[in-house]
Amino acid sequence: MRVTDSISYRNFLTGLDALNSQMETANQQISTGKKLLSLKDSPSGSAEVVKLRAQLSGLDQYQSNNDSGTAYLSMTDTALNSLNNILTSIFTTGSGVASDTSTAAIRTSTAAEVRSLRDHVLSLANTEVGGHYIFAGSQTLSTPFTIAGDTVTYHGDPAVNSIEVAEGVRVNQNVPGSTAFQGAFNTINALLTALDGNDTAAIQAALGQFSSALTGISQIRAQVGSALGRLADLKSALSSEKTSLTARQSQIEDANQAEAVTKLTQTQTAIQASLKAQTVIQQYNLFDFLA
Amino acid sequence: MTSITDGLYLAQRALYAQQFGLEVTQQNVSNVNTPGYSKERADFAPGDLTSEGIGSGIGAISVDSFRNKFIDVRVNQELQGQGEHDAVLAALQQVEAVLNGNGGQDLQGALSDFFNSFSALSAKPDDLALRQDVISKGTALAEEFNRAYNTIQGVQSAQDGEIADTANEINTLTDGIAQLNARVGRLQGSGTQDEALAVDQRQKLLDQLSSLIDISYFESESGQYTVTTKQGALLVAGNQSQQLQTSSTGSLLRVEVGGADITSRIQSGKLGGLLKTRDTLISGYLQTLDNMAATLISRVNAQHALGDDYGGQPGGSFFVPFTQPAPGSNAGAARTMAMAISDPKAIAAAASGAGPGDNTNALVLAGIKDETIFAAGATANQAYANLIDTVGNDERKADDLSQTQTQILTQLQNQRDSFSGVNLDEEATDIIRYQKAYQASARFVQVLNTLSDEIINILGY
Repeated sequence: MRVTDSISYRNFLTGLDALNSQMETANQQISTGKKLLSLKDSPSGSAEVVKLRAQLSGLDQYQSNNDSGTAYLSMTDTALNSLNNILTSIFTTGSGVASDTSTAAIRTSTAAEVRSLRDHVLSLANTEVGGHYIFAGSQTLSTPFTIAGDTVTYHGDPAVNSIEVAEGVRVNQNVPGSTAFQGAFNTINALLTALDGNDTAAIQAALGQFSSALTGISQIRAQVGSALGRLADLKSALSSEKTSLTARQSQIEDANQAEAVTKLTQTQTAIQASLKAQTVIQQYNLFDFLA
Repeated sequence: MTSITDGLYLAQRALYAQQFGLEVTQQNVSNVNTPGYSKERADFAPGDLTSEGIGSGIGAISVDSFRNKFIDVRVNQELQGQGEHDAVLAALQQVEAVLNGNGGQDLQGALSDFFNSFSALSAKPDDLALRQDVISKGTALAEEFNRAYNTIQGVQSAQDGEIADTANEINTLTDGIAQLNARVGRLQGSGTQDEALAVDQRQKLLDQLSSLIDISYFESESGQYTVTTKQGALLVAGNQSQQLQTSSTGSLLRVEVGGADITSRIQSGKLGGLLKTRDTLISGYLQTLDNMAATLISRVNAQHALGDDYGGQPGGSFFVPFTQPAPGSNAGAARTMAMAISDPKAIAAAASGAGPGDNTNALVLAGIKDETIFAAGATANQAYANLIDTVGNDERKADDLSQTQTQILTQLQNQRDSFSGVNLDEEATDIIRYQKAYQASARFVQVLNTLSDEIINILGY
C-alpha cells in the first residue's frame, strides 16, 4: 500500500486517541472508585444496581420497622409483667382474708388495698407513649380505660396492627386492651364485690378465677415474647441479607483499584512508545537529503 | 528539427513543461496537509510528428488528479452513519445524566423513600411527624417525576434547536455544491488545476454534507452532481440547490423541502440522528415516565380513597388525579404530577371505620412497591430499572456503531489517501526528475546557442 503522510498521521492520531481514552477511563475508575462510569458500560448491570439500591433501601426500612416493633412489644411486655405481678399481689392479699376467721372490718380495709392496686392496673392499661395509648387497639389517641365507681369501661377496639419487617413477613405489634386487661379487671371486680359483701364463699370463688386470668396473661406474654424473638431473628437475617446485597452491588459497580492502576501504567507506557515511534518515523523524508 | 530556431522553440517548450511539472509538485507539497486534496500530476503528451517525420518535442500539457470515485461514495456512506450515531450518543449522554443521578437523588431514590415513608407510618399510624414525612416524600416523588420529565424534555428541545442549525448548515453546503457544479460544468475536460480544485472542493462539501444527512448523488454528462436525500428529495440539481426549511408544528420542528414534509424520511447523518433521538428515543423515555406516573397516581389514589384519615374521614385523592388527554394517552402525567393533600392528618392510613391508630391502609399503600402493576408486569422499581436498561442499551448501541463506523472510516480514508494523498518522498523524487530534465533542456539551449555562434562567426560578423 502506498503510504502518504496523511495516512501516517491519521494512524498515529487514531492510536493515540484510543490510548488516551483508555487512560481516561482507568483514571476515572481510580478517582471515582466506580467501574460503571456510564449506563452504556453495562446497561443490565446499571439496571440491577437500581434494583439492588431499592432493595437495600427497603431493607433499611424493615430494619427500622423492626426496631419500632421491638420497642413497642417490649413496652407491652413490661406492662404485662407488671400486670402479672400486681394480680399476684391482689391474689395474695385476697387470700389473706379468704378464711372464715377474717372480719368485715379487715375485709373492708383489704378492699381499699385492692382498689389501690386496681388503680395501678388501670394506669398500666392506659400506658401512653408520646400521646399514644398502646392498649387501645386503633383508638390510640383517647384514653382506652375509664372508671366510674368500680366499673371499668374499654373505649378502644380489638384492632391489631401488623407491621412488615421483611418482604412479605408481618408481625403483630400491639395487644388490644380488651384482650390484655379486660379479664384482669373482671376478676378484680368480682373480688371487690365479694370483699364489699363480706361473703367468704364469693371471695373464695373470685380467687379461684385468678389462676385462669394469670394463665391468660402468660399466654399473651408468650405470644409477645415469641414475636420479640422473631424480630430479633429477622434483624440478624436482615443484616446478613444487607451484607450480601451490598457485596453484590459493589461487585457490579465498584472498580478493582489494583487492576485500574495496572491498566493506567500499561497505557502510559504504550502512549510513550507510540510518541517515540512517531518521532522516529516522522524524522526524515527525502527532502532532508536533497542538497 | 529543421532549423536552429525551431530547435530553440522546442527546447523552450521543454523547459516550460518541466517548470509546469515543478509547479504541480509545488502544489502537491503545499497541500500535503489539506483535507480532501487529491494529488495532482502533470500530464504531458508528445508533440505531433513534423512533415519530415521528426518529433516536435512536447505537446499538450495538462493536469490530472488522482481520484477514486468508488471510495468517495463509500466514505460518504460511512460518514452518514457516523454523524447519526454521534448525534444520538451526545443526546443520550445528557438523558443518562438525568436518570442516573448520584446520591439517590434520582427517581429510584424518590420511589423507595415514598414507599418507605408509608411503611414507617404503618408502625405508628397516629404519629404526625411520620405523617408529615409521607407528605414530604410524596411531594419529593412528584417533583422528581416533574424534574426528570422536564429535563429530558429539555434535551428534546435542544435537539430541536440543533435540527434547525443542522438544516442551515445543510443549506449552506448544498448551495456551495450547486456553485461548484456550475464551475465544474464550465471547466469540464479543461485539464486545468482549476478544474481539479473545483472537483476536490465539491467532494469535500459532499463529505461534510454526508455527515449531516443521508444522501445519494450521481454525475451528469457535464460532470455535475445531482444530490438527493436517500429517500429521493432533491437537494442539488446542476447549479441550483433546494433549501431545507424548518417549520414548527405544535412544539417540535418539521423539516420540509419544496413545501413537502420529509421529517420522517431523513434516516441518517447528524440530522437523521437528531430526529431519531427526538422522535423515537427521547419520546419513548418520556412516554415511559408518563405511563409510570399515571399508573402510580391512579393506584395510590384508589387505595388511599379506601381508608380513613386521622379524623376518621374517608381518604380523598393523595395525588392530584390525572385525566387522560385522549383515550390511551398518559401524556402530561409525569410533568403535572403533584400532591392533592398537604395536611398530614388527611392521609388515610387506617382501614375504613377504624381509629387513627390502625395501619391497615398504610400497610397496603406501602405494599404497592411490590405490586406488579407497571408495564410488562413490573413493579415501580423494576419499571424504572427497565428504563435505565433501555437508555443504557440505546446509548451502548449508538456508541458501538459509532466506534465501528469510525474504524471503517479510518480504513476508507486511508485507502482514499493511499490513492489520492500526497507523499513527500514521491514529490521530492519528482522535483529531482523535473530538475534533471530542465537541466538537460537548458543544456540543449546552450548547445544550440553555440551552434548559432559558430554560424555567425563564419559569416564574419
